[in-house]
Amino acid sequence: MKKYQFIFGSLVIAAGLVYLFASGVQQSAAMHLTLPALMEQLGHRDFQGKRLQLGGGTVVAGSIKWDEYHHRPDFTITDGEHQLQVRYTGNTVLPDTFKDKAIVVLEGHYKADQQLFDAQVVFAKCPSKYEGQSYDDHMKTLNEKQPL
Amino acid sequence: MIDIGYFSLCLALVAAGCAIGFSAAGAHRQHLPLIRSGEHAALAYAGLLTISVMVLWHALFTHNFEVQFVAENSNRDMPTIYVISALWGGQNGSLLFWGWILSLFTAATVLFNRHRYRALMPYVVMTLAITGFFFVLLNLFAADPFKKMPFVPADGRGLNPLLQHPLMAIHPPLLYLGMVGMSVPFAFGIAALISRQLDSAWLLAARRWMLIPWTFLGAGLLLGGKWAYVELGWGGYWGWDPVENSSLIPWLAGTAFLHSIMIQERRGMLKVWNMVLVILTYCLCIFGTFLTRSGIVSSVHAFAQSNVGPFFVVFLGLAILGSALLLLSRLPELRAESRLESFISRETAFLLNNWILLGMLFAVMWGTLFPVFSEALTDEKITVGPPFFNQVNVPIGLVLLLLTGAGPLFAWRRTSTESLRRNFAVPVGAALPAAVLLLIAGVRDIYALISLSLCVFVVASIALEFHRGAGARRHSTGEPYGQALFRLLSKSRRRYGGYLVHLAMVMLFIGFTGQAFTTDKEFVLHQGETAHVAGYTLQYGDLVQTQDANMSVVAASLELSRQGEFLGTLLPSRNFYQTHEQATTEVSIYSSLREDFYLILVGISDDGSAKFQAYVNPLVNWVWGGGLLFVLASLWAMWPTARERRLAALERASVRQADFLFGPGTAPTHA
Repeated sequence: MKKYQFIFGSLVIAAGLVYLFASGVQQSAAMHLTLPALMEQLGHRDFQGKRLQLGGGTVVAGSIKWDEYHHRPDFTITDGEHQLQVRYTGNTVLPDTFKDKAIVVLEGHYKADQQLFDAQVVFAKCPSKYEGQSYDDHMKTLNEKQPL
Repeated sequence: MIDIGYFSLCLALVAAGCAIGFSAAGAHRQHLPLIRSGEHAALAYAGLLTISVMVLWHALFTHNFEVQFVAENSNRDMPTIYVISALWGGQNGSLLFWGWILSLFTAATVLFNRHRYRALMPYVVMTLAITGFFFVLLNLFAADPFKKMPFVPADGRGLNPLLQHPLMAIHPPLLYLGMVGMSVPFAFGIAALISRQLDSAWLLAARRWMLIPWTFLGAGLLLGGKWAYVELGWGGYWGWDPVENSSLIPWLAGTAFLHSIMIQERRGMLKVWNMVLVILTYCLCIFGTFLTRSGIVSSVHAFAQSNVGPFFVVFLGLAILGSALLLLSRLPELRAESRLESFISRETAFLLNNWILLGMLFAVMWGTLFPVFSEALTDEKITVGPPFFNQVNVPIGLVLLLLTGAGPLFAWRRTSTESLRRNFAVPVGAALPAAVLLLIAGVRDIYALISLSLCVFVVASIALEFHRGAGARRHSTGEPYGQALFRLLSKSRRRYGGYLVHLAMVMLFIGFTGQAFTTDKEFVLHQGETAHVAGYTLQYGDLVQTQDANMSVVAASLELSRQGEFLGTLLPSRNFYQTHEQATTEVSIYSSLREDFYLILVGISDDGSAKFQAYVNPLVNWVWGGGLLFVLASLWAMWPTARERRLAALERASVRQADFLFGPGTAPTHA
């Protein structure tokens, strides 16, 4: 009897956990793509309404256009080959590491009609470690890894 | 000079190798001089690594940019404190630092425990030296901190301005002390398995050696949060980033271990489980170190991609395989001495606690590695963000909080319904009215309501324990109440120190709950204008500009008041560092026990008007207060009692005497 109670209890807990996991994933899942992968798939795949995490891009030097209060910029990212226009629409103040040539990871949606990426979150690498994070190094690793 | 560092690194590898070989051979043949040589080799390995570290520090201080690491992680006009912390500011130096801390832990273990745990020590030294060997190997072949540049640059690249913060100088070493230190309890577990000394001696040693790094790691996590809070300017302190998660995961495993060993000590149960936990904790520490350095998950502040990844995979694989095989071969000797008698018992509460902690661990790990798994399974890389972690961990955390209060109310073995009713009366009697009061006060968020009521429940349950203990003591000794309470706390440090840690957890939970009530607002002000945010009034005075050699600062000065009462002047600013061509946003915080008013200067327009972002974060200070109590309470719990100190001294004396009278190694092993 006790054994069944125990098994039953465990099942209830496990079911609860599975539910929490599944709904949590649904709430915040984003598809990770690199910039070249996104650009290559644009023609034959619909990204409408899909939450994307976009890596593999750096900010094109001189492309950052801030609004009046230096809050939400428009900028262009590149992987050395493709370029993509980005508009930041999030709330938080962008990290201080966000500047020309910064390596960025964006989260948001691709707007096919305007051909731009609507970013709600911008991560800029990287406060933690300086070495190997320069623009040149990054471009070098990108080039070595091609085709991505 | 640099060559000395490299050379002593090479010698450290040899010394670690000797420590492994001598200890293993000595223990196998029961040959005391060999065992001693193993210990001495371990001490030498610590000394040699110390020399290496000192050489690298010397190079940093003397700006020897011939060394690539120095050139990449420091420059001439860095303040002294950041020259010190530059040692762990880059991959190669931080790996050396990792190995060095491990060697210091190894030396400390040898010096403190070689008499006490004679049968275990050679294997402990061996296990620690194997880990040490690996890290020195890594430094020599994959991450050489002494590598020279083909030319000597005039100045170094320097340290990222964001990291130029005193908290960033303490936070990483604390994390390292935590992650590295967890090798010691693991080594005791492995030693117990190899030597078949599977009684509770290893548990006692492992417990103390687990408490130390566990405290460091916990403090490190919180300080990292504090840094993010004051420096990163997004109003929060925890973002579920892979790097943060990778150090939270071993802390959770360590917490589970610290709880479940109590069942083994009391009832001789869960022996296998405790071994699994201590092995798991160690492997997760290695895994976390690997995760942050290999680039397999993208993180805002992961290290540069480098070639250390495969080394870690191989080492981790060997560690898991070796430990698992060893554990399997000892399974028959790890049979439980008693069985679970009733589900309504302290044992069940502890078991549930372990389940919950591991559930949390699994959830964090799952979320962190989700991109890797999903890519392997579906070819599509899916990432999950903070909503996932919060959604899963908040309910689990609340159950954990409930257990924190309820666990001690159950008796060992079995609890009668009568005693349950008696024990639960006070805490439940306190929590229910609290819940009603909170409802009346307007708390509508269901999780916040549950969390705060549970906090009251836990505090009441702990107060009840303290009161009962002090009452009983006063009754038997006739001491006045206050004295009885203090004596109780200092005699049973483990138990009551543990309760104090629980109180710290309550404070942390109160702080976490505050996040449910955060408000934020962004607004533009011209000079002289006022804004209203969540009951506060903010008047924008003027802009202040200053400049020195290192940076120029633009600060906005604002007067903060609430209901007509002047609270203070806030000076959020933007600093521009010339050498790095980088700006940092410096937030300004008005802080009280109730809430923080957190103000960011977003930007300034040409006409002098400025845009601000304000967060009102209730109860944040409870997190930092809880962190402080956590450290103090852990220290209280791990500090040896007067009785334990006397026993240890006696034991050392008796070992020495036995060695003298009957020859070395003849004294009975652990008391």
